[in-house]
Amino acid sequence: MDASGFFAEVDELTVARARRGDAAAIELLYATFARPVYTLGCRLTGGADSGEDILQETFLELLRSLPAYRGEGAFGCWLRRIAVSKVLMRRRRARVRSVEEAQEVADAPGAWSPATDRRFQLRFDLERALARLPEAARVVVWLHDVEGMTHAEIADAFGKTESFSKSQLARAHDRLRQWLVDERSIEHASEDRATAGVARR
Amino acid sequence: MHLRTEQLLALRDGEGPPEDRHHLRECPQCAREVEALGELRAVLQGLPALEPPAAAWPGILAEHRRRQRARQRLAWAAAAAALLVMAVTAGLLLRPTTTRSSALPAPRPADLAELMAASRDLEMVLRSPSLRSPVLRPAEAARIVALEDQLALVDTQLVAVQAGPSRERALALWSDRVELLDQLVRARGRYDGRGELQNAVDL
Repeated sequence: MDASGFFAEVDELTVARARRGDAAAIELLYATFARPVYTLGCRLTGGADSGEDILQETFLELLRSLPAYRGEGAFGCWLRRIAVSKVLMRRRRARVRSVEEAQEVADAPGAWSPATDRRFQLRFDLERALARLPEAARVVVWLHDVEGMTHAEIADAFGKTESFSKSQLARAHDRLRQWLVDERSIEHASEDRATAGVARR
Repeated sequence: MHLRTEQLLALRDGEGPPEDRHHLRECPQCAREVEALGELRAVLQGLPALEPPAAAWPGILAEHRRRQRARQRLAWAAAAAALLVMAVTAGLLLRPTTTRSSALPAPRPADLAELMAASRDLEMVLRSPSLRSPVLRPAEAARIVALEDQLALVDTQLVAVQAGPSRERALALWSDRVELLDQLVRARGRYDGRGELQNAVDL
């Protein structure tokens, strides 16, 4: 199964009907791609509110540009390019207001409970670690490792070189690994303390 | 000497130069690193898809319709302005140099030019970010929609009339247009008496 929902199959007839303004076909495209677009928006921007903005802007662009869609390449890839460009446009606007490093956010507060499922816990830690990454590194690691975009494609979307994409990916992995190691160290230390407490009793 | 993260990532992706691949075969530590990078990618790919809010789609459609109407109005206004410029130019070129043949007093070009300038100024005011309050009372929103509809009607008539000979009718329509734009500005904002605009949406 593809990790990216953008590779969902959509038949040419549906796309052709949507291009002619058929409301049912347009709604079917939304039903097929709303989740991948929203997921991409949330993961790349690090928040649900901004994820919803990306969802809206992407589908507004789809509604506006659909008549011009020529069917070159997979429909989902075309839509993903729109979504990524919306994220990067949003990022460029944000950079006018603040320097990138300021976007490294502190750990989001939230109810955390020790999970018995180790994989679930790793996912939970990884989601938090992803949200802490600087936005460029977060966008690159998601587009490369999850969406399967090449460094050349990512560099093109950013308007930068492949070296930029590669170095951002390495930076993201270094940080993610460090944070995950830290999380596990804290967790192991608390487990050791709990075990020692039980033994003393 | 171990490989850097960028080199390890290239090897994980099945790339990298032969010398790095050779190093990987010889170095268990770097091999473990590549494996760990692969595992991290697998966990990233396994993160669940997120469900968008149920109300998102109706909101997107409503916003699409609103933008579509705005684009149509802009297109009509641009077409009307272009036709008017053509008509005025043609009128000036074809105007007889002796006496006027029409019994009706033709509007002075200055009148039309003034109305067009006033119309343009009001549209600039309407585009001002200070007027774009996203929150409106229902009655205010309904009034704005009604005014915008009337404006679209006037623009349609303007396009039609510019193709014909009636400059007086054009003058009347441009007067209507300025009046409607003025009302729109008043509906969406207010002047403070010194010519400066203030947001009038008090909630």
